[in-house]
Amino acid sequence: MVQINEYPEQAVDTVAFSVHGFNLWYGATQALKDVDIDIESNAITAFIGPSGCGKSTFIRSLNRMNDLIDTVKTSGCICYQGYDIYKQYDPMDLRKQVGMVFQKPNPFPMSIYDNIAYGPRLHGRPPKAELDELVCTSLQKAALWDEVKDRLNKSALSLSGGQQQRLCIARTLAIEPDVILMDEPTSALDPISTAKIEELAFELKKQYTIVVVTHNMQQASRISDKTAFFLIDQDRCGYLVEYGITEEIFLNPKDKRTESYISGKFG
Amino acid sequence: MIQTIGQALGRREKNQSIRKGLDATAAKLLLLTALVSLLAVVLISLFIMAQSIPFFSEVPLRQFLFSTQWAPSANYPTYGIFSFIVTSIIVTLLALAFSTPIALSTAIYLSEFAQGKMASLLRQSIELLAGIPSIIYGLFGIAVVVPLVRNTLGGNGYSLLSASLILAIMILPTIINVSEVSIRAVSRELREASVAMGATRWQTIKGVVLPAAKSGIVSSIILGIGRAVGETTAVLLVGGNAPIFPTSAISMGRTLTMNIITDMSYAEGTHMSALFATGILLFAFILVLNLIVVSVSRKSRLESER
Amino acid sequence: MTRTAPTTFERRRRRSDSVAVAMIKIWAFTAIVILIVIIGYIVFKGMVSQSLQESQIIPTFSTPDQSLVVIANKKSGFHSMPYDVLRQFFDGRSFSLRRITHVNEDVKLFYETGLKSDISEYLMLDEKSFQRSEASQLSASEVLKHVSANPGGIGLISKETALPSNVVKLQLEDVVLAVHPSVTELLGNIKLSKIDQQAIKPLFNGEYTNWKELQGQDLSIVVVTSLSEVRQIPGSVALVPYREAFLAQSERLQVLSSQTRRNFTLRYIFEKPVEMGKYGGISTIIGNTLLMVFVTLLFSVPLGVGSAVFMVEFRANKRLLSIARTGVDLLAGVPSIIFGLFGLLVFVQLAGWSFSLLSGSMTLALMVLPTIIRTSEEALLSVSPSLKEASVALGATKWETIIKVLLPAASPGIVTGIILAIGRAVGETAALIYTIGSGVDFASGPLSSARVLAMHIFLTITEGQRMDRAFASAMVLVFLVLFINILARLSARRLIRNGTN
Repeated sequence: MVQINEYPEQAVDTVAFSVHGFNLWYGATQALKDVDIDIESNAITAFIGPSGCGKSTFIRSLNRMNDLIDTVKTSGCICYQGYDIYKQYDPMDLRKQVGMVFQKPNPFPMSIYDNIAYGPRLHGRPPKAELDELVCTSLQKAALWDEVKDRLNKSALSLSGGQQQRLCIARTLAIEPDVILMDEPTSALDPISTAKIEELAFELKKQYTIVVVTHNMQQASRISDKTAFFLIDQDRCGYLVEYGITEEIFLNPKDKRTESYISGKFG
Repeated sequence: MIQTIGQALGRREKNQSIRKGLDATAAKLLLLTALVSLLAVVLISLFIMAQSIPFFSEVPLRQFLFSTQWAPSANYPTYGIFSFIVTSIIVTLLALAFSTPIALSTAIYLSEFAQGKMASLLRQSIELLAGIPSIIYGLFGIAVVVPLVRNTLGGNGYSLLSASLILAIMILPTIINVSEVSIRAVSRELREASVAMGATRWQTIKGVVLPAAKSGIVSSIILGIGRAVGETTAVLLVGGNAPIFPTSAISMGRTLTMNIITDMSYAEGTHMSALFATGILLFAFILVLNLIVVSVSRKSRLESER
Repeated sequence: MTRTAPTTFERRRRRSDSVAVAMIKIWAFTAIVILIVIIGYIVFKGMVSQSLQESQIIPTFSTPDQSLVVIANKKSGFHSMPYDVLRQFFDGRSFSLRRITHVNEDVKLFYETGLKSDISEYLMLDEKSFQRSEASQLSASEVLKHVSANPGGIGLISKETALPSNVVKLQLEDVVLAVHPSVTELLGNIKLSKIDQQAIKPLFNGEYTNWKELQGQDLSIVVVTSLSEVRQIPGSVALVPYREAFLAQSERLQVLSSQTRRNFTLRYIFEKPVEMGKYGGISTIIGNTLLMVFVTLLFSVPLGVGSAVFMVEFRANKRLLSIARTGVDLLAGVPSIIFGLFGLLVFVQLAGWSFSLLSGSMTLALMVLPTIIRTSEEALLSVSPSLKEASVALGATKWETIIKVLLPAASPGIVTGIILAIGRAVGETAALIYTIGSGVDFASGPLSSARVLAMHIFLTITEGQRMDRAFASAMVLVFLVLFINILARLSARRLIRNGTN
């Protein structure tokens, strides 16, 4: 096992994010306390916990989406590829490499093609042939190509919920990130679409690092390699309780609180 | 005892039926008042149309709309309002050209960038701009805009350009208010999707927010057109009021509204009918514009509720 | 920091982002700038009037050793006394201050006993003139008393003394620019006749050496000190007392000066207009405006609130609601001139009311109807449904619930709407021109014509009256609108505060 130091330059290959003592406040209210976690590359990490425990807040800190709220303050360090994302990284560059899929599918009111092409067009002016290929590849990777290849010019809003979510995944893939963050990606979808997307995540982890926030523990146990369990304390502040290999967390949790949460949901 | 109870009950029932009766008449009354607006619109159209009918039976429509000869007091009077139509169009288009960039920027600023005090200061200023009477704009136009145009571009100063500059200021609040509402209505999720892909602020605005708010922005511009075309007092004071075909932005001109208000004081007979005909043309145009906006906004409201 | 070196595209897009954002911010703030400029300009011109004047008499210049002291009542509007004006009064040629200081008063002349001959000599007057002017000869202290008592009082005394608080000493300006005929002769299309007041000091300082620098002939400027020299030396100019120049009939240059005077005075609001608004104040006009607002509200509020109540109470009938709302939207878009035409046809002609307060107010009532309906509807909708339910549960009928519960609860919002409607009504011109008439007096009844403030400004401009009067009235209107705006905002704020309870 690789020794993980304070300055994790050595651990870059297997660790995507290295988080030390991360705290977050909305104004005066603290929402996250002292989070310490190393998120593994090319694996699926799940964040579970009761609602309001800060798992969404935390995942949004990983790509600095929380910057959009002016009252947010942070301390501690989140390191991506060895660099502190708050102090040493430009947020726009970060987001090119750390993509995000949201809970409610949010395709742009444009054609399917333009949706996928949006990301690449932001960062360059790719020639049409290159763009066509990128669109095709992204849709294939998102397992949506066969369903939409004949109607790339139709509006993205004409797709079903599950298809829209896969479109959003394809859209994220098109900018060729290293990490894909998913904030409850299937909670708004039906079981069949959910299964399709879980299958997708499984395929994608070979190439990408995936972090999933889910309130569905079966889902977490099904797809993730590692699981992080968050709780909320009496001051309504979220904190990390336990983090480890999924099997161990579910079958042999080290923390009593983890055990009662899991047995409560499963039992 | 039973008698008194019976009396009391009878009275109570009578009271109740009176109250119910009042209720029914009240409902009918209210129905009438609610339709008052529509009634007013219909009445206005009818009356003005009625006054213009004698004109249409005398003068061919073609001459009215397409001839530039407006000479109601000549020996063989002609009533061609084409010059006025063109002037109205030019003045409105110029006003839009000047006003839209500022209005859209303000709308974008208010919904995307502004915080607290700055935002409310800006909003109050826009409200105030909207409340300034057109005569004040006209006075300001005469005192400041006309000399400005005269000194920088030559000519008389009283010109289409001056009129459109003043109109641009007047329609700012209209465009800003409606645009802002529709820009604000663009869902946060769409914006987040764009930001999550590493877009700059401007890229998100240009690529996602503005296209999504397009129908609202277009509505606001159409409303601005309606306001500009219907303005009378301010343009009258700075436009020059010369019933000629405008040859450039600095030439004097007369819009449809100016024509009506100027000649009304002394017109009679066919001349007066001609003015009412101009009025009905104006009214019809603005009604159509408003109907378009109303139906577009109804449609988009229905779509978003789906 | 970026992980890889930024590509040109990346640099460019970030630059366009900063540029775009900066431009948006700048253009957004032009709205505020425009507002400040417009209001500031109107208020400035309302408070201060600048007029260009042309006269032989040079402002602020006097011959030394004056033997006469000129005093005047502050209300007369004089800030100094040019020689020719004083002469006009004592010559009996002018009786009213109207055309001179635009104050609507008659001149009353008083002079100290013993000064008559000095005055006659100085002002070149004869006995007939004195009789015409009806100037009164009094003791010095009496002169002071009378000047103080008469708003149009002007007095001549022999020496400066303590003055009553409403009397000022005026500088007697009696110097002209006398020039050699060569300076003003017409030669080769150039004829110099005027000089700007600002140019006089530099002229005598030697900063101008040739008349062509002042749009005159190519002729050297020769500054001299006496009239006799002026008559002899070509190109010469001297400061000479008016009398001397007049008696010698020497050539004089006109002086162009701009006078800055106080324009708006509080008096303006309380005085009645004189001569169809050419002079005097605007008291009756303001009164008419208030009356008009009252009558307009009288018709539009019940109708508007009733409409709103219906639209809120009977929302279940979707079709009817949509028709009603379309009606309101359409009415709101009708331009004011069309309302004016309608008012002319229906109220002025058909109903036979002619140009009157009633016609104008009814027309305006239609105009402000949508405003009242919309705000009232919003206010009624925001009333919490639990209030309605409570009332119905107590056995009240729909009508009773509306009157006793809904309307009171929605009143702050309704009041806000009414205030906004007042603002619109007060600023309207086009709809009123052919309906409300232009009578300057206070309306004696609903059928008399009544000029209102916005109309008055319009008529002042188009009838060619003095612009500073238009600005004074405009300033009043702007303040009125500002005041109404603040009222509306306060009312809306009260609404929010009460709503959160």
